[in-house]
Amino acid sequence: MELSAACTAQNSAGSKLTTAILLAQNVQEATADLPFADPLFGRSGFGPEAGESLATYNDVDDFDGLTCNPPIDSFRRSVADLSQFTQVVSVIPVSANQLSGNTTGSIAKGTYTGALRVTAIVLYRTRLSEPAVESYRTSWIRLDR
Amino acid sequence: MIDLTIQSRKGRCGFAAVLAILFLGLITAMTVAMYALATANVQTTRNLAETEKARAAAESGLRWMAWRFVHLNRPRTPVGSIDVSVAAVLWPSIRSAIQTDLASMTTPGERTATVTTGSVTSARIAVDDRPSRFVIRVSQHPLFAGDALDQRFLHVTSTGTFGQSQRTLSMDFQIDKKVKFAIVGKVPIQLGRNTLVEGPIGMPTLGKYPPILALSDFRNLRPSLTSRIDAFNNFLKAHHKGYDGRVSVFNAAESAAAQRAGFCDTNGDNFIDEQDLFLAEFDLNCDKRITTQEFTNPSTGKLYDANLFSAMDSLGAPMFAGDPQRMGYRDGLIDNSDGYAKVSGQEFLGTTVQAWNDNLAGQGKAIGDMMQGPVVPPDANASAVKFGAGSTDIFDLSPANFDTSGFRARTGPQNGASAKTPSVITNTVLAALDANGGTASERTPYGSTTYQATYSRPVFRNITFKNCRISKGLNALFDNCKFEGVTYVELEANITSGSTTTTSASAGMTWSKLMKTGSFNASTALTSGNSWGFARGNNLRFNDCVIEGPIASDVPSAYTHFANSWEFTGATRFDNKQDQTATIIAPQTNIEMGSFTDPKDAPSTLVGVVVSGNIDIRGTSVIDGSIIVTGDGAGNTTLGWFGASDSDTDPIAMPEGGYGRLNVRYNPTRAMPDGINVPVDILPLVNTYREGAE
Repeated sequence: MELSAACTAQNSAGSKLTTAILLAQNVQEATADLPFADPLFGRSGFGPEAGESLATYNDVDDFDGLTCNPPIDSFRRSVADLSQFTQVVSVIPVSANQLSGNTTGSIAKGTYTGALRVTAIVLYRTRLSEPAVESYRTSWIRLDR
Repeated sequence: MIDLTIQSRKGRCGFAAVLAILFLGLITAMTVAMYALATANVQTTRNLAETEKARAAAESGLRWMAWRFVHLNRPRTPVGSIDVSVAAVLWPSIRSAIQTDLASMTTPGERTATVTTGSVTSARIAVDDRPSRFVIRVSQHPLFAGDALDQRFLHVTSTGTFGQSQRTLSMDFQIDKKVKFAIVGKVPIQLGRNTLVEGPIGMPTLGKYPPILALSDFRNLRPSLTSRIDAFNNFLKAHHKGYDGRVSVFNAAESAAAQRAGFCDTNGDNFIDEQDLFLAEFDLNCDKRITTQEFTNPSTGKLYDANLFSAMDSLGAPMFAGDPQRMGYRDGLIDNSDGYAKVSGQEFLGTTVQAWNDNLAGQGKAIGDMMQGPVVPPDANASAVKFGAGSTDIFDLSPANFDTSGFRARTGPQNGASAKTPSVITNTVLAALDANGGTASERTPYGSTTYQATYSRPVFRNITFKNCRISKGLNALFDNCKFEGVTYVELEANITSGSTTTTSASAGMTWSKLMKTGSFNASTALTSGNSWGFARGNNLRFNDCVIEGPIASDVPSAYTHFANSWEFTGATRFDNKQDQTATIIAPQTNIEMGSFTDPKDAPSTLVGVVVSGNIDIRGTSVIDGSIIVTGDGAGNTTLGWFGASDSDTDPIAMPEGGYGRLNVRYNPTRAMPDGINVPVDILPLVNTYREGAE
């Protein structure tokens, strides 16, 4: 019985990780075609501009600090059935000559470097009362033209 | 009686045990299998996770290399058309430039590239503080015998790794050299009525306002429509985010506000813009198209504005011989198939929104007052206007990058034996003694109410010039002449301030006004006897001429306003049969094209690039190429009718013959002329993106 329970837990972990990967991909896909800077305000700000919401985010750095629970699909629609998952997105400027840099915030957000590192973290919790734990994390680079 | 039970027991002795053992074995096997499967599931998912991270790293690498191709110090070439042999010559420089660029990486371990004859490979580049890495390899095609791509194409592979997983993506890039702008220049750009632009616009200079001024094409046709246009533009200023002059029906808040204000998507193109108001005004039978009958003024029996109708119906012209015509091209109807926009392309402006607004604040105006009409970028996700545009967006417009010696060599005695008859002059350096029409004294700009100087000109009349060179200081009037082959205009290249060479346009104005005798006055006729500007420059007027080839000039160090200025007036027509890459290459010369008094005059078609110090075009013309303005001294580049004075910015009264029309269209199929020494581009071919190296 214990073995069976262990196997079920293994399967469940695999399933959760697969779902988490897909949810991280949704974030990547949702930002894939967005311009580097705001179409209206250019590089003057970082993060969402005044009045913008998830549905109207129009550049990559608008997603900085976004936390989605329930998570979103690539069209930015909520996926209520996966409410145990949470997507957390961070966007930070990095030097195009050192993409792995700025891990300590040495380059302030809003500094224009021509490159951004987007990190999507997918958290999971079995019950609402439990703390969410990291299930999957991935990063990618976006560059200006 | 026989005890069957005992007999039966005896007969089945041990069977249950066998079954039990069998089931135990089966269950054990199943359990082991289930465990193996569960473990494999988790391992598979972990592999998938690592593979996804490797793919993300590879994707990052491909984007990173595309970015570096834009920013690295790419080799320059004066050759206009990049063919296989030019690309082969360029490759070592490109390879070296990539290697040098990679050497600028901050982390020492990421700097060293591996270079072979055919490729350059980067070190492993970290994406983050985890094990995500990518390696870039750039190779020149052909990669193998029978490769369909030649030396003009580069193959870029990005191999991403994470843990034990690896993913490779690849894409091809093309070595190319194109202007990529319909209009680009250092001074503010004004688009008048009936001036429609197909292609990007660029104005990188800071501190010159407004960087772009675009007038509505639909005001002043009828008072009712003018009111609607004004109301709509006021609505945009109050409710619309952006400077594209249109409201998307998918923007729920703005669309609802527009409908509440009485504006709707009349033509059903999913945007609410000026064209919807135009359609609502004239489409009497509501079939979403305007016929010439519907656009006819009942009180005059003429079209309200025939030039506007023609300009709209002529959009989307074929790019080259054999290019199929689009549906609705010049079909006598205005409808969605014409794809009307004031500007069909992105606008790149050096200024910022804040800086422009600050400049306008004192005038009580907003950016929306300066930009009327819809601006439609080619990519739905791109902004209509990119503010803060810099050197990576717009190439270096310095006049020093233009070498016109190739055109000079195709004129005068260098091109062949000189010959002169009363009606034909060939391969000759023209002098005042060749003039056959006496002299004429006239103001420049011709017909302008704000003229800058007066010139006493030798007059050449009814002559055909073949590959002739116009000598410095000629300052002629060519009347009813024909120019075949290449025409070259000599100018003083060394513009000085005191004894020092200058690039300053204000010093250029001083240079133009420098007198040999007396003091400069705009009304005093300048001659070679009294004016240094006259003797060293070339202020020319071409009236009722036909110009059948490119016209080029020397490249002065500074923009000189009127001393180096050419006007094309009357019915002067460009019909370039000689060289489809360029019509005008005069990097520091002011060009005035068309009439200040009658815009219907001077119909022209300019093909290839039009390079000038500044250019004003009025009248009825088609520019099938690119307008490049290298000078920084003029007030603005004026395209279209703005009135009878350079200072007019909002003509209300339609002049005799109409406003004229300008269709300016960037044509990417045209090669650049030789002599423009700008870096080559390395452009991604997105349809070649694929997973895998080949």
